[in-house]
Amino acid sequence: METLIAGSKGAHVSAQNLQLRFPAKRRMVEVLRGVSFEIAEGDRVALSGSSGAGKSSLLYCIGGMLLPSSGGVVVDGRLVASLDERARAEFRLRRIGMVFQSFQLLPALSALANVALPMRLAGVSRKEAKTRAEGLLDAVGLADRAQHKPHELSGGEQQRVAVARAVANDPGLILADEPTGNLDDDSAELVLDLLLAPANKRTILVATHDPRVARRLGRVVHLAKGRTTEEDLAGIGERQT
Amino acid sequence: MIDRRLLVLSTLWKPSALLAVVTFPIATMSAAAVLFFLTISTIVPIQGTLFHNRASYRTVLASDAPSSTVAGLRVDVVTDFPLFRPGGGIDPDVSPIMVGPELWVVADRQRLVSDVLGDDVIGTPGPGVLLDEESASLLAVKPGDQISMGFDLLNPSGSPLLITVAGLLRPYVSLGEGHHRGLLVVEAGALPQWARELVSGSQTLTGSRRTYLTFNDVPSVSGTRTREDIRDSFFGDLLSSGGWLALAAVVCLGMALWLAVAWRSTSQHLRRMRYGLALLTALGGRPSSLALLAIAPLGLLFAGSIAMAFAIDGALIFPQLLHWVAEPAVLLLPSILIAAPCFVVVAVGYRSIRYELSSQAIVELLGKEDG
Repeated sequence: METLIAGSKGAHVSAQNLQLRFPAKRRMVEVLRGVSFEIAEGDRVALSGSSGAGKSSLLYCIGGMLLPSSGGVVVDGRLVASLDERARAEFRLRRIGMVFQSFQLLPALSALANVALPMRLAGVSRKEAKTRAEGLLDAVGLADRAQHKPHELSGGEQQRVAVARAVANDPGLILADEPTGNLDDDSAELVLDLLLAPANKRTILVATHDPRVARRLGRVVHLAKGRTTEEDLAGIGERQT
Repeated sequence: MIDRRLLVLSTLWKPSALLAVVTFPIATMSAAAVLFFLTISTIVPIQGTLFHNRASYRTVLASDAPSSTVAGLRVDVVTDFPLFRPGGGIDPDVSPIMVGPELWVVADRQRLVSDVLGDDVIGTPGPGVLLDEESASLLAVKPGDQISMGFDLLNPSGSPLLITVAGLLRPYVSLGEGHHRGLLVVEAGALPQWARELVSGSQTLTGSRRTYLTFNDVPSVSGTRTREDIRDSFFGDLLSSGGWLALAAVVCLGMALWLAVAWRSTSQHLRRMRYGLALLTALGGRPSSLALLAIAPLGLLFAGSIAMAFAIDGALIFPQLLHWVAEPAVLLLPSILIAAPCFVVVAVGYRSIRYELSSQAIVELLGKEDG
């Protein structure tokens, strides 16, 4: 069942002089000020930085939900900002798996239906989506909770459902925004184990300010004042302490 | 793809919420319609029942048939023309009424039937005869047909004469000009010259002109009023008394109320859908499709309300609609009045949710959820 979580191929991500500005209260807020980095296929990268540093915004830019003011993100050779709305939606659907801090499961749907949701959006038949969703829930250890609604699950369980949902369409890139931020230590470990399973060949970018999470990833990109710097794992640990 | 997304979306609706959204506008619409009708029923002094005398109405339409449409019907108006009744004419025992030397107006059609069939006719048959519509219907004759008149008093031994039906008559009361009572000559055939000389005016009926026509107080045609009569006399009274202001106020108030409820339902619906749609967009749903699907149920709902209003108008207010006469603009007006704000609500709702699904709004929503 682990092969369901594992992806066969990761995405290549490249950010070039990425800038993002928002109008707020009669002035422009500069969130990203020329961010550049490159992530090879299958790399696992922690995006660190303090709250409000722009980690989430950077993830949304990569995922095509936010369009940068200038510069751009290239995923697998495609400039995301150049895609029209329809193509960007398709890109998110097929190539991106999102994991949110607050899980973002639809409360009216069961765990099974939540996992099946991206597949249904992608046009997978109800039966096939159900079968695959059951397999994914089994892979994250929640086979017996398939019919439970999100409010009937613990935080850790909800995040595992979210992880299963993120990989449902077999995306090449997982973007996780503080995936362990609302979890206790044990649940956080369990979720990270799933995300970072050796068999998972996908490219993974995790926004986090938790040094323990950052340490489990192979590389850290630090975001501060709208700019990124590469840091070693020891440096991250020292700053956080 | 679309139907699958619709299925996905449909799961976002709580049954109770769905029920509320569905029933709110329909209930309000129905209430507005009932209110409207109660108002009409209260104001209009109806003789007989509202839904009575459909057959009479159809008869009128049948007589309109030669011109195929009401709006195109040519009617010659005979004003200040005396209408005699049985017992009030020359001879109380004689039913057929002779007006002038050659114009026959028959008020007692049963007697006419027996007189004609029994060869018992008083008067001097001329080159043509005018019959009231129902008499013609009873005799199954139309303009151009010939009827057999047995003999006349001046020549009792003469052989029966064949007389051509020159035209059909319709008694009328003019509400607008001192309640004149007279005869409408519905030109369905070639009127002889002598008949034309009696005609003092001519006009082509239009929807508005019809509002001044009624069969009221003409027992030879009908003892009760048709729905058309009610509509005609109602609007005629309203127009002449200025009561249309009250009616317009009621209609506007109902429309405003309905619009408020419709908008509230839409807002609630969109608020309820907002989070789910934003998440679906983040997961890869297409914003334009999702916005369209989100608003589609309301669009269908409003379309149902419009159709219902249309049906109510057609069945109760404008019976002509059932026959689809050539007054579509007038007949569709109430439905258009309802459709316009519905369209605005749906369009604004679409724009609103489309904005909610824009990049910035989604990020803000999901970011807020993420704390």
